[in-house]
Amino acid sequence: MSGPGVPEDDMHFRWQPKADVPPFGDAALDAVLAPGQAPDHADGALRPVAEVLAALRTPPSRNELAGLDRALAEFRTADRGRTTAPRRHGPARPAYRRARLFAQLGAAAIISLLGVFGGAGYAGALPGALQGFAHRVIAAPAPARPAARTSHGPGSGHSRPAAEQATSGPGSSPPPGHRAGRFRPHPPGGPAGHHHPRHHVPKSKGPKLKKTPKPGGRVSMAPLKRPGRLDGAIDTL
Amino acid sequence: VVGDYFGTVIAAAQAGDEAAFAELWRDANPAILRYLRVIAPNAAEDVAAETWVTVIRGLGAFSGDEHSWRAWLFTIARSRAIDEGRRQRRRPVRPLEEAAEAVTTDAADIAITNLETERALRLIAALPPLQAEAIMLRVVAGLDTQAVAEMLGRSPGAVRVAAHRGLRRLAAMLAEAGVTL
Repeated sequence: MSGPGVPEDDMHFRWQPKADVPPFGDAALDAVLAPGQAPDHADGALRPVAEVLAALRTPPSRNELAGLDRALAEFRTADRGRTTAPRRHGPARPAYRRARLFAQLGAAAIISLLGVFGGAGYAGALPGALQGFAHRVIAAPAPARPAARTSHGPGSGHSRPAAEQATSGPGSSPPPGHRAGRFRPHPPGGPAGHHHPRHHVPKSKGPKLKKTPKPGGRVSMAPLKRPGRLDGAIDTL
Repeated sequence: VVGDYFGTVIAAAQAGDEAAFAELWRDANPAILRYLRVIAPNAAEDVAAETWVTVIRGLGAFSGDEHSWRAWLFTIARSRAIDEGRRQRRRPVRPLEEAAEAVTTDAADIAITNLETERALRLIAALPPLQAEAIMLRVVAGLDTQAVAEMLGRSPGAVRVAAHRGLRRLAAMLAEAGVTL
């Protein structure tokens, strides 16, 4: 607070007397700041300020140029690094990290190969010898044989289970709950009418299958129709 | 100021020519040092050295004219000064040997340096920081108001006002003390 009637000791600070400085226009101040402005050309009241600014622009002294050797040494080091050092495009990899990476890649490749081999084996898509190997090792389906595909005819007495016939072809998959390793191929010229105990297939409750001999010797399995009235009439005829 | 052949000099320095780099350094280092003596008075030499290390690392990527070059240099110097200020705030106590060495260096500097320049720097350093920095960047770095505004993160109008206020305050200080250089 200040003004008439206010005691002098009312305030706890004193106003500093303002120096007698004439007000400067912005143009005059901009002129002082302009590069290359000589103090002589400054406004009379601004001349001390212009002299201070001119002192800031004086030529460099010796100590201001003393650090050149240090800067040049740094420049040389950086330049040598730019020209001689091989450029790295990633972080440095020590030898052990590289070896570990190769080991991981090799393991991944082996696992992938085994997976492909197993998958192809179960699909029956491997060549004969390999499929046999897969059959023995991982219980994949046995390799398909031409003899196994052909039927022995109606009178041969060879009753190959339907499930085996269904799974023996390439690309077929065993039915659910059926282990592929249970079936083994018949020996060449196998025993006609011989049922290996392992070949026993439980009777299914689905439609009964009828073996219908065909001229080509193949066995067709068409579901039996339930005997109806018409069938009985035909039998009578 | 390097002048018309700045493009040739900077290209040679970027190609690894030491003489060209030395010319750039001789032209800019005194101004950088004076600027740093105002904004980082306790560590101007060290900050200037760090500034040049940064400049050398980024020299190959620089492109532009001499005005851009000076703006780039002083931007780096300002950043390094701010870093140094943060570092000093984190550990304000210096070992006695280091402090004694700094005092000796300063005394030697003052003896060698042009006394007028030293007094002028002290006067500018007595101004409020924004006013002092605006004046130094305009006068010592030779940057225009727009470049200073970009560097300080202010509007050109604010920079102009700060510089004018600083000059008026400086005039008042000089008139009050009856100081002449």
